Amino acid sequence: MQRWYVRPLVRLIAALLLPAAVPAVITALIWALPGDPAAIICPPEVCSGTEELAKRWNLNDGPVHFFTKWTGDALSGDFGRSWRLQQGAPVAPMLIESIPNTALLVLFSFVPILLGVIGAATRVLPRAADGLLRVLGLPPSVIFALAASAVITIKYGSAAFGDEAERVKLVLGALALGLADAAMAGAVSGVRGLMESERKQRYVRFGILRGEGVLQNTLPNALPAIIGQLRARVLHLLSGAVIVEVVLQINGLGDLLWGGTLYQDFGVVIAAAFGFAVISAALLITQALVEIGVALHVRRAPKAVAS
Amino acid sequence: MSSDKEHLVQLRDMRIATRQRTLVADVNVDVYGGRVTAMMGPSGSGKTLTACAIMGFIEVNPGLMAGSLRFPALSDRDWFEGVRGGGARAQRRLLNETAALRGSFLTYSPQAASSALNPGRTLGRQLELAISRRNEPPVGAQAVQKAVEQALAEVGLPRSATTALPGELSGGQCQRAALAIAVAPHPRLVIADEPETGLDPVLTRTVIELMISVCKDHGCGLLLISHHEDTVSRIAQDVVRLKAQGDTA
Amino acid sequence: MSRLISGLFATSCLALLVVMGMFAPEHLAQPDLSMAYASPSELPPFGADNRGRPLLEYAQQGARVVALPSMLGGLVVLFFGTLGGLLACVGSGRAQAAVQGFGEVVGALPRLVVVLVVALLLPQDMRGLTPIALTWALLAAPGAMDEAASVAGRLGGARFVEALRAHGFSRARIYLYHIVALNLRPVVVRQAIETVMQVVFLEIALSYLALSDSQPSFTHNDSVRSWADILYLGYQVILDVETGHALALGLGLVGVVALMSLSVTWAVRAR
Repeated sequence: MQRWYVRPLVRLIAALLLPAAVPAVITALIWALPGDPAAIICPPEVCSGTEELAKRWNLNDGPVHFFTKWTGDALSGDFGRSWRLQQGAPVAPMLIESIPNTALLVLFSFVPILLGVIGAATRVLPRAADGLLRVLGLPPSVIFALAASAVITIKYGSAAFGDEAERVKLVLGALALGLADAAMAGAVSGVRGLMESERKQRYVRFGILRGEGVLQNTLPNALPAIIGQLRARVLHLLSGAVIVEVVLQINGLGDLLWGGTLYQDFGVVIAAAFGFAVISAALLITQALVEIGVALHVRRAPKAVAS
Repeated sequence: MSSDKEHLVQLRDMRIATRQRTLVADVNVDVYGGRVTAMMGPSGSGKTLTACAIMGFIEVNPGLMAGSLRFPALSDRDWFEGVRGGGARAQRRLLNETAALRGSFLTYSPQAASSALNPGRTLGRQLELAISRRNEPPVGAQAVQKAVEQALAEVGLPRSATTALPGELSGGQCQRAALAIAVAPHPRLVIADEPETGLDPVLTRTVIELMISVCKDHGCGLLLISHHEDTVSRIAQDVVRLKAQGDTA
Repeated sequence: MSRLISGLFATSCLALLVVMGMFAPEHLAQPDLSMAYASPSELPPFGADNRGRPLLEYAQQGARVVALPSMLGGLVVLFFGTLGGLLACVGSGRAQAAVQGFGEVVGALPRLVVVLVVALLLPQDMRGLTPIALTWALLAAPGAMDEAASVAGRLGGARFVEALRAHGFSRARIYLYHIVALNLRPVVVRQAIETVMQVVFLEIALSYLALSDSQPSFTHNDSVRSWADILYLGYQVILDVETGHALALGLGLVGVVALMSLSVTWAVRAR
């Protein structure tokens, strides 16, 4: 039988390695693909002066040097400079400026999902709602984002970059993100399925016969799996945020990543991917800590009962 | 603690049915304090269903069609009033109304206890919850800890079982643990549902003897569900026999 | 009966996608400005774009862009899902633990981030929807394996196989019929068709975003139109341009793909 701390420990290790794993995999890909690494990073038809590029990116000294140099600089806050998206501008401020918008977008879209999940777990949200959410969740995020963009264009026209318009973009973007691609539907039906499956376990019935509540018995056991599902949802939202940010012109991490990819700005792309890796690592750590917390709570010795 | 001959449960003419068939019919059960009442019958005769109905837990649809349930030691109330023919909603109401009785006035010790205990909760925590349902629960961490250890000792389980999860105990240990959880709240009545299930004959005898001894020490009544004729004839003072579709003798 | 109808609908949609793609013209028709923004009644079946070129050709070229790569992605997920379920029945705890561990790592990053990095690094001559679809499918594979393994686990895994062997069934029959055909089929087919749908939507999203920036798409070359072009054209209806028919076509195509996915899921669900 696997010890309780193995899985959360593996998650914690994965979380610590993830921010380094992303540049490592990118490095491996650059050197694994056929051709000159400098030409892979920026093809000759897009960039000129590959020799200077190779020198700037430390490509001449092999993958290990490239990786250690880039990671070392990144850990000290230096992500190099953009050469195409914002020529010559340091990438670090672009990254720092974009993270809050993405965080807000994902947070706003996550709140209704969390409420839906709580509703499903406690059976407050009726099962009939799952069908409606599923239908609402059929369109992809690009369609919802276009609809939101249309609303903003019609309402604000050329003033679509004012403060109020930015706030509305964030709210509509969050709504689009939360509904599209079955984000909410998947979360609600997934948690409902988990809790129903747990409720059918024999110990729940006998918990009722002992005078205990159903949620009191099922929730602690289902909580690690629920947290895992929620983490998957947040990753799903981060993925969709790329599309929503670009369509709605929200200056977020996804928009930065897209711009870097479109304009072959390698420095921006690797930095943005690193940013996503850090966020993903934070989610993994959260899940691991919840698992450890639940396990320690389960294992604690009896203590005073509330009088 | 219930005194001898205290009338704990009075079940009359109970009938429970699904849309397709009757599950139990004309069931009459009387349980008295300080005595062992056995409920016997072949598989499918409705023993567990009857025991759960006594605890206010009916999950069948439309379910309770006739009968009355009283706990004379508490009051003259007919708990099935308003539930007969009322379907799932009325049965949910019964479940809520009887919640305070379950785990305090009457408790349940299930068969195959290893799958009936919460797998994600230590034995100590499960006993703690059971002890908290006493009329006068112990106050303070040390008092609770002492009560938990006492409960374990009564059923012959070591102190180290406090931090054990049900999956870490053997079948016999789980059955003892279930008994400990059932008597920890100092109930007036313990319903033990086929405690011999999954145990070898030697262990079965040990568990049954332990059950009777603990119930006697606590002065509570015992409703023992079993289909072992020799066990019942040895220990039970009263016997209720369910036949197919619930005819009682 | 409803399974049959769902199955027929889904099969028809898939067949239509393939056939449309097969008969797609290499290049769009010559512009005919007299038919600019023609409605479907003026130029059946779908009307024309701003230069009088039939939107049917857009739909056909778009179908060709997505048809094979999306189905390839679906097949990859189908393969891995089936493999995951079979591994659970073989009883190889180590293999399952390895899959779970791999899934944790692969599933730790948002998928679109990985796809965009791959799109950036791919050499120009390797670009297209196929490598993107394969990347997406490989990222989805561990989740599919995990889900299929849990279905197999509920059957009883290796004990299920042993029990059927005791009844005299051959291993091949047990794995192929009892496990894959009867039990894994609803799960792995649903996963596969969802991947098909996701790849189609991914292509539309990536192409649309590139169009918005007037840049070439990662998923197809500039001489070919995708369904994103139809949506891009249709979006101009909010600027009072007469492209409502294009918007309807674009949304209709998205709707058909979504309904196709739902229909397949419904048709293969467990009895």
